[in-house]
Amino acid sequence: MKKAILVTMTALALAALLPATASAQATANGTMAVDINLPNLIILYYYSDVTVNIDATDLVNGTGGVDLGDVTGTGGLTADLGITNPTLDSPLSNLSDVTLTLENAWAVRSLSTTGNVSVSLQSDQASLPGASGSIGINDVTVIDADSNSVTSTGPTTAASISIQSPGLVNAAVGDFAMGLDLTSTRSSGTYGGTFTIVASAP
Amino acid sequence: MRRASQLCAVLLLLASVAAAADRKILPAPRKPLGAASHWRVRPDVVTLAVREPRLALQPISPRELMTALGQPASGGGFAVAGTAGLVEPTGMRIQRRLEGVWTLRVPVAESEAFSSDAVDVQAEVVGITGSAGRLAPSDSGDPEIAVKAVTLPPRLVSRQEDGVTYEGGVLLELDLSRIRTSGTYSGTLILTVNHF
Repeated sequence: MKKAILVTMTALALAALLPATASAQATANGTMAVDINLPNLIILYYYSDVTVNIDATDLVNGTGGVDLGDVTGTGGLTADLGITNPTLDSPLSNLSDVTLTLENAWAVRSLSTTGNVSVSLQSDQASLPGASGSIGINDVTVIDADSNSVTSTGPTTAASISIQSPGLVNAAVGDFAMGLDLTSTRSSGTYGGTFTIVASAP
Repeated sequence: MRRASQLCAVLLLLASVAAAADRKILPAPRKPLGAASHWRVRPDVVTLAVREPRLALQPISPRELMTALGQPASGGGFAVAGTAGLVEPTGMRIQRRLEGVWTLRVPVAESEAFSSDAVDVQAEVVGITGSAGRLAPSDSGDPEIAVKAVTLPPRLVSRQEDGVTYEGGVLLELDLSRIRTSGTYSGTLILTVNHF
């Protein structure tokens, strides 16, 4: 009997501990797998209309490159008329290969599957017609922010450069260049044509 | 030996009877020091459930990203004439509000003393790479999405004879400013419910 009482007392003592356990902070955890899909997205920034004014001084004194400083556009577009052979006393003697560089001419923001994005430039015509004569296009070049460049194999073939996808916040900015042949250019005035810019994910 | 087994059985029986009595009769105001007034709520009988084991968040659309960038999505594509939109955005954050993502079931015996104020819900996302506060792409070399998880207040959704049910949600804020690749980003939402 004495043992039975002892057992009962022990049991009650154990039971008395339970409310204390119950009142303590308790924690429950639940987990859920979460997925979200991000789309492919490329945003190309470009100029739909660019006018470059070249005056006679630029052609005569443009050895080694001259900032034209007279380009229609906003947002930092500049142009540089570079002469391919800077050792010539007069660039007028090398008018078959004048490089016109449009700096900051394109920019992209992107999300792509591979983490890369390509930007290409192609002339829609082999020459830019004017009132009399034309400006021939030798080739076009795409240049990235690290000065890597790709040049087309002809006037109407595309030049395409692949860069790391910049994401959405900091856009990747680059230049376009074109090799111009002014030997058939006989009149002053406006010469014009169109170029196609494409940004794509490989 | 047999006597010892009997003794243990009696002990367990008595303990369980005493515990059951404690649950049913317990309105005795034995409030422990420092505990909330809901101390009678038995944590072992309040159950937490998540809505589903795997949740695909609403995909982020290109238009949503353009809006976050402050860019008009005109025409058939996303070619923007001019460079006015090149201004760096102040943030590249997308939100997903998940309503009713968890439920808390409180039996009727406990519900009288239960209050949602006594429930502290915490949420955290861990990427599949193990990074806290991240959703990770399948290619581990790419940047991960930083995720801030904010719990929404629990609300009473049903009161029935056998108990009450609360549910709550989570607001996920996804920071896409470092992301360069498209595709699926994955992780685990861990919900922790503390009640006092």
